[in-house]
Amino acid sequence: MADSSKRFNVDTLASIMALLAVLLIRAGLVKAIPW
Amino acid sequence: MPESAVLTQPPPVSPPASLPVRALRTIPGMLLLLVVGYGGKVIEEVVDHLAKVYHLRLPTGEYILWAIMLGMIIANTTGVPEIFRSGVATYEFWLKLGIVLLGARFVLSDLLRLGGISLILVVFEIGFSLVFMTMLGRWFKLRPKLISLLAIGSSICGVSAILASCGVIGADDEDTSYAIAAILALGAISLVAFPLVGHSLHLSDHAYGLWAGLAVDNTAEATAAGAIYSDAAGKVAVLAKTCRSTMLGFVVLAYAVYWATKGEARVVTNKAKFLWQKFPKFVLGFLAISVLASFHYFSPAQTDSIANLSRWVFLLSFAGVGFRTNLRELGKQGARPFVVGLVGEIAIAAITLGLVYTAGRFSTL
Repeated sequence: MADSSKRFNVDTLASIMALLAVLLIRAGLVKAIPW
Repeated sequence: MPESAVLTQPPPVSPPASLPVRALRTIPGMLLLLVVGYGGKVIEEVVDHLAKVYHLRLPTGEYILWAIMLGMIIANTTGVPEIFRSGVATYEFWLKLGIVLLGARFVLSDLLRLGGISLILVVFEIGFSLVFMTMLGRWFKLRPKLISLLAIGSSICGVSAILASCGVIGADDEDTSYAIAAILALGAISLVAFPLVGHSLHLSDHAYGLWAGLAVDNTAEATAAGAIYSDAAGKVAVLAKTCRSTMLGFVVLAYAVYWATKGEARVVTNKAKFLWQKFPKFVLGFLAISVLASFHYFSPAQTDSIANLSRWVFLLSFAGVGFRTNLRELGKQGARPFVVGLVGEIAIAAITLGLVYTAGRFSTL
């Protein structure tokens, strides 16, 4: 469960990981499993 | 060394585990989230198959409800074993990751139009919720800080908002756990109630998504309530809920200043720093990916792939919603905070539905 002191970490980590994921998908290195 | 000195020494404290060890400890719980989430998907397919055989009509998005129910059953019967707990707690990370990835499905023009409408409605929703919940809490003679927590939780973003504010307004642990328990119980009810009302009123995907994003408290429950209705509704619910979350700092700051003037909380000296600390940073990631999508950085196939990734990570967070809904804890809270929350949420749902209908007259929803 988030609290204000952890919020920064979870939010920032999620943003960085998401940006990394979209860049990898853009580069054609990974592809998500079809839903 | 004298014997008395040995006896009075504190017990040895083990040093905190290193980051790689803590990361490894989350793996069992993350696998459990995946198994439970995927279990929900499998049950949906089985039920869909049976519905086809027996010619039944069932709503879409039910895998979310199944995943949440599976999680709730485990949490409230056997309980979540210690080995899984740190991994199950990562559900919030998966939720935020899913939201940021969803940015790829919004071009800036959509974001400005829908986000603009959402922000205007959010201001009305927050104003009404704060005033109404405060009046209701006073009427039910709840403790003043519990009223503040319930008002903040129901107007902004549920548990995160309560946790963000309990420290700054100086609320005690009992009030905080009461408020959290009430908000979680109401969130669980809204997962079933909102889609039912939405379908019975034949709301469009956009109108329903906007309504769910404005009225359902927790980000996870708002996302789930939207996605249960339809994929498009889920998208809009996330956007509206994100707009609501951006207001967190302003409302918490207002309460902090109020309680500080009464001498019951610390004075906030640097307000700009306070607002930045409370700002949900995942919004920046969401906007960054939306900007990339607006400039056609991704091909249609890549956008589909990102959308699929977003759905998979949301699945993990929906399983986590079930795990954290502990009915035994909710039972301990007593009826009054729950009744205040329930009456307040029904009023907020009705008012926000009215707001969405009004917005629909001025803009296509």
